[in-house]
Amino acid sequence: MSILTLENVSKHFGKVRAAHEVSIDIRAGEVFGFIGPNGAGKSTTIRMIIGALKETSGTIYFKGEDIRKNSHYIEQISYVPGDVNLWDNLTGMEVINFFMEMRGFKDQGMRDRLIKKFRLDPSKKCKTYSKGNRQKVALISALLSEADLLIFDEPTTGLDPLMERAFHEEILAARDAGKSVFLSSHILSEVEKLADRIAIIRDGEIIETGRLADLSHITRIEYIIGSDDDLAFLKDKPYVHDFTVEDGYTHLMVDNDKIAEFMAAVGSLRITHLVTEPPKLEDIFLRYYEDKS
Amino acid sequence: MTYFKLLAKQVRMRVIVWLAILCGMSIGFAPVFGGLYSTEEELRSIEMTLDNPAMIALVGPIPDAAYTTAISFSHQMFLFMALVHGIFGILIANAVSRKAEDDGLTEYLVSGGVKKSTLYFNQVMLGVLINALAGVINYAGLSLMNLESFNNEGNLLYSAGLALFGMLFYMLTIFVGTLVSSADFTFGISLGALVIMFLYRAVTDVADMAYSVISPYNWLSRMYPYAEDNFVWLLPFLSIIVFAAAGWFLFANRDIGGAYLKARGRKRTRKIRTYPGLALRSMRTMIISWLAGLFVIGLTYGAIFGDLETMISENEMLSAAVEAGAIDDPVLFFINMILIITTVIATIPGVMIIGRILREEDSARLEVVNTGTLERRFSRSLVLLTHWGISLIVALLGMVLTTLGMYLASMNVDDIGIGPGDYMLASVNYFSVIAAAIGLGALLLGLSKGLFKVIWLYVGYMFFVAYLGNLVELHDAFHMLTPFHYVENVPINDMDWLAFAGVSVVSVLLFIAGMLLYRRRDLG
Repeated sequence: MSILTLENVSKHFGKVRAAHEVSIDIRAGEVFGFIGPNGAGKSTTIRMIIGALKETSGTIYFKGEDIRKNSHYIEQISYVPGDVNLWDNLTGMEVINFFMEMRGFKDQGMRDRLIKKFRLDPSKKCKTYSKGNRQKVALISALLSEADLLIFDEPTTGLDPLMERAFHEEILAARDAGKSVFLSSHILSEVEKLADRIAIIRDGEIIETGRLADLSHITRIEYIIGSDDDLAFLKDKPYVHDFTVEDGYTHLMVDNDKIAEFMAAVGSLRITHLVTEPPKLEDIFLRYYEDKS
Repeated sequence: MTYFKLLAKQVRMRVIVWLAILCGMSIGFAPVFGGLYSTEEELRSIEMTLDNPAMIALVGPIPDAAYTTAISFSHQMFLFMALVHGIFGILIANAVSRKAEDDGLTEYLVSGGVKKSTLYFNQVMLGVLINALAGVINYAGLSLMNLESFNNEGNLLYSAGLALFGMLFYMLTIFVGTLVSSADFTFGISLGALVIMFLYRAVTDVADMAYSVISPYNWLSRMYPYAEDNFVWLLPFLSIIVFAAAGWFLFANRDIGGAYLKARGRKRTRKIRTYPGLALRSMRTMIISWLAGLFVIGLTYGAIFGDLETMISENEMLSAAVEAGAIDDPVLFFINMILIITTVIATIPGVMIIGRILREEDSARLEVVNTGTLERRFSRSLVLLTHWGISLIVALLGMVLTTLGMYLASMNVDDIGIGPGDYMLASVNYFSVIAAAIGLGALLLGLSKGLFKVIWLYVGYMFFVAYLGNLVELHDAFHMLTPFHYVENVPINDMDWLAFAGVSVVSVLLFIAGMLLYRRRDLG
């Protein structure tokens, strides 16, 4: 069952096409990754979903119903923006309680558990909070709801690695509880870790949708190799890109779907050092545009 | 570089600007008083005007001597200037002491070998120096102008009184800073003391001045510069030494960055259950300040009602209009004009409050709170309705307080033919004008975020037409664009309830149109 469906949704600001013919479909109980570089149209798309922006054309369905026909759909969505602003003179606890009041959510035990888990000092005024702490307040507030769909826009940019992990655990727990999660990010590894399916957006248009494994044909893996043998022959292989030598180590990119061939080619060499870098978002785009041209 | 030089450098610009404002006001206003009240008769009339509880509460007790220009200057300026000197002292003291400590600068200095005693002594000396400087500049300025009735003793007492007053609150702030745990807290307590002392003496000056003596403002009042010149009332300011010494005792015996009284947050988390509750909380200070300000504006205008006849006869444009028969009752005409001006001033907080919704929108809080929340507890319509309601209530209260101030301050003036009922009716009447401006603001908000700024141009236009339109001939089209054109000039003529209802209905329609648009437009 689909929880959220976007059908050819566009948002044009004058001549700027912030989002163009975006179509995505999020199923109930999945984590959906939405990735793209900054300014690609992620936030614009999200803000159309939550009703902050009116789409220029296209239709958004929540649980199969056109959102323009029922404004109450918004009660079932919980959202955290990329840049969290809170009320300066309220404490973190007061903000969290205010959100709970607005949502009619009463589970104080869960509130206290999350505050502890995210190591938030809720007695401080919001104006003294760092970006990361403001984000924690917003994340906790968003998790404290009966919403069926959680939307996070660049949720972990201000969090330290420990808190990032805590957040990832909560995402997966929400999914296991039957909720759907829409996770926007420009960090591929984060989306890879959590998302069941992803959509890639660039310049306002969706360029790929599917399971990350299925998208491997558009990703590349970077290898950093140290070897006593001469590796120069690899430069001519069709699946090897960006071959460079730095400080005695050879750096090269290999098409994800040709790893077996690459391994066969280096298998007989005396390798003293081998580091694998996971695919980065930029590499996906590079590969994607090279393929196009 | 010595620590003192560092301190001086840190606050140099701020102190120069402050001294220019403080001394500029005292020295600049002194000759103005000579021009305002030049004849015996005018002085008598202003003395009469000030001789009522509302004005005594505002400026202090009236000296028991012939009211000269110099006496009227010190009587009307002294306490107000003391308040400003107090703010100066508090801000600078907090910046060099507790604020520097909060920011870690003090710790840095101590780690660099500067002794605590050096730190404290220099902070105290800075306060002595800058306030003494204010006193010297004031004294030199007043003496050099050599104005009539400004004698040397009076100049000295006026300048020294203000300098010591500033110094007192400087030391008080340093003292409080050693006691409590943050610069915010220090500022709050010191400013609170400054304001409460003023309000306290306002009450006791009216009731029984004997009780006022606790307040440092009253020490100034009792000096009566240019009248009695009581130098003995400089002595209570020796308490400055007590604060400085007590502060040193506390500072010497605690850690850098430490405190004796810790504000461990508020103990109780406030429950904010509704958006109106949240909005009121975040605009509370602004609303109270505006209402208090409007009341004072009313008092100030009311205070001149006794002089209206004289002022009008001196104003060529106005007296010409009276002679030509365009104005029946010059006093009522003038009061109406002042009402129109204050209406426009009271429009400002109203428009600000409806415009505050943009702060929620810009910060994206509006859209964040909107998601996942029950539509009946939070929605764009509810938020806009909240701001509309609050802005209307504040506008009405503002008008009532303004006219109440006018009434209280002019109670003792005989020639005014209107009573409290007329003032209230005028408030309600002109309130509809403010409501129309607020409604227009809501419509602009609904159209787009950027367009809202236009409302300020419109408020300016309203002011321009209302003010100027009374004095010179403007084409009717100019008048028809402001709501003032449609309602009756109430203290002059009878209330036109139909016109009032018409303008009110239009204001509601404007708001509804704005809300319908706002519900569907793009945010941010």
